[in-house]
Amino acid sequence: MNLMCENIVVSYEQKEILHSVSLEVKERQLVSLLGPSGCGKSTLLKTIAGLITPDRGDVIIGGKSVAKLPPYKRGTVIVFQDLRLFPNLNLEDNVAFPLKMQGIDKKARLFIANEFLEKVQLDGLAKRKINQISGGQMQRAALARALAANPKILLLDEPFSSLDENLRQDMRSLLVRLQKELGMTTVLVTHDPREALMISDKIAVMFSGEIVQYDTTRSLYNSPTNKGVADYFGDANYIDGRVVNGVFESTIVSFAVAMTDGAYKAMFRPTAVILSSDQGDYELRKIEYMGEHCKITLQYHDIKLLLSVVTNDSLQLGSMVSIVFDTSKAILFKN
Amino acid sequence: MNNKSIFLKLLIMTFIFSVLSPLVVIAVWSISGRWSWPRILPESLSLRGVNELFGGYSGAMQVLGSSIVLSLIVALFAVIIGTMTARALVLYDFHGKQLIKFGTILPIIIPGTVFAMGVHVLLIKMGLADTAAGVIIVHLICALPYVIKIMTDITAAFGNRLEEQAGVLGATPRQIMTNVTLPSLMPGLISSASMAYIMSFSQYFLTLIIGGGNVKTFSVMMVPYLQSGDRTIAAAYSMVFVCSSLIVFVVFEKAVKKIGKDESGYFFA
Repeated sequence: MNLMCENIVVSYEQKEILHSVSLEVKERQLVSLLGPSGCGKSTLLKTIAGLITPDRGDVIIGGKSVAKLPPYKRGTVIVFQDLRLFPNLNLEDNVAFPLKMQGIDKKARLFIANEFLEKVQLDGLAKRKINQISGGQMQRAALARALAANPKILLLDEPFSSLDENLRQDMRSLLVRLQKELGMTTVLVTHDPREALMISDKIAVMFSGEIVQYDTTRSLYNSPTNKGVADYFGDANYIDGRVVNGVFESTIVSFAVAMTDGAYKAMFRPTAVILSSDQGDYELRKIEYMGEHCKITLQYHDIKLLLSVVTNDSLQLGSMVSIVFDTSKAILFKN
Repeated sequence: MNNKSIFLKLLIMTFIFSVLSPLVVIAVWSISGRWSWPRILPESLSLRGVNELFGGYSGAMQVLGSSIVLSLIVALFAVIIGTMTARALVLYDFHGKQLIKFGTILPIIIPGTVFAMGVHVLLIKMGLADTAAGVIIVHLICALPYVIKIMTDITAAFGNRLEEQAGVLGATPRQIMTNVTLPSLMPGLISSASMAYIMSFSQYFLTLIIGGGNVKTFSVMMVPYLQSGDRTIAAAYSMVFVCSSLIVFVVFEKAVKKIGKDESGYFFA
């Protein structure tokens, strides 16, 4: 089912946290709410689920307003960051909990619960108590329980943040697989841009209570609407210059663009600046070794550039090198 | 055997000795006729205490029964009122919250003898003096601060995290209460019910003042024997006091286990 948030305003202790947020999530899509902590993304999630009552605005699920419905009638299930498994129930009873609430008899609900445990690869652990399973298994259990509720909208509030990187990657793949398999409209809250890029159909970037850009992953990465969004997705080089008669001009790079005249900043990602083997005017000031790749910092007068290059032994601090800008990847922001 | 385990054993032995030895002395006293210093064993045995309690002429067993019922009522009300108060204090914001929070511990700060007068006057005006209802009210006043304290701590520890989760999973408020809230609070409910029960059951002074002799509880019957120095009968009463409370606690725990299906023992594993 599709989800619409219309002009949602939420305040807490007279301070406005969400400033008229609107968001549309189409059926079967996985959308990430991406932003730094405290930007209001969890608040938006809780508002969708009905745990927070907005001052203004509406939440519409499948064409019907649910603003006046209590959480248990909305069909929006949250998997919280702290998972919130019921400590007095074993694994299968936890997963069967939403089915028990729907009044499904014991035999049937345990059967369904075990099916979902199998889907998240926890079969065989059904009778375990919550304190007898690992963090990764708890994560899977919480996901299975949410899916067992057969929600109209699945809401995930940074559910993988407590896991180490390997497990997190496993969980992401599992989530994407199940989301596609069950066709569940999903909203994921995360502060990790890599995670958002990896698994989402679309990403809504939130800064201080507002959605600043909502787009597909590729468009977001390739054409951020402002410097804040661009910076959030990783390192960037900014070069000040002017556009005159369709040409961007600056001290170190010039290229043709289809922009109106004026002062601009040209953004190049570290991979859009290519190191060439010829000697040149740029001094190699810093090398950050990162395994297969390394980040190097070049300086030309007062301009510093960050490059990401394949590690090779010929890189020497203090050496003078030249570079080529991949101008097709340049993004211009008007000053 | 290392030093640590010797120390632990010593600690446990000391604990067992300090709890059990007085009980053993009381048990022996309850069937002793004469037992004077410095003899280790009683000089004569007597069933005077047993007859007093179970002989039927003193009415001790009827009083024990009604006393247990009265204290169970106090425990029930204390737990209901205390749990709801604790919930309001922890999870909700309202005007005068701090004042009410302070108010809940007032009965601990002010000695019972002091507030007994005020409460007595009030209950006389309300026509509740010398009645069981009045005694229940005054026992509640004593028990509530402790119950509220225990329930506040456990409510704060659990918060409403699990209730929120149950809500989004489709549980109605009533389902949340029976499936999530009560099982979570169960350890606190058992200990506060036991606390309220024992506070009520052992209350002598307030029962006497407010009950005015009309409401006879087990403590009211027992204390004169303790004061008069008739050790045989006093010890027999004490034994019944201890055993009846123990049985009530076991029943509390069993009942709770049945409701909460909680396998772990709280008092008795």
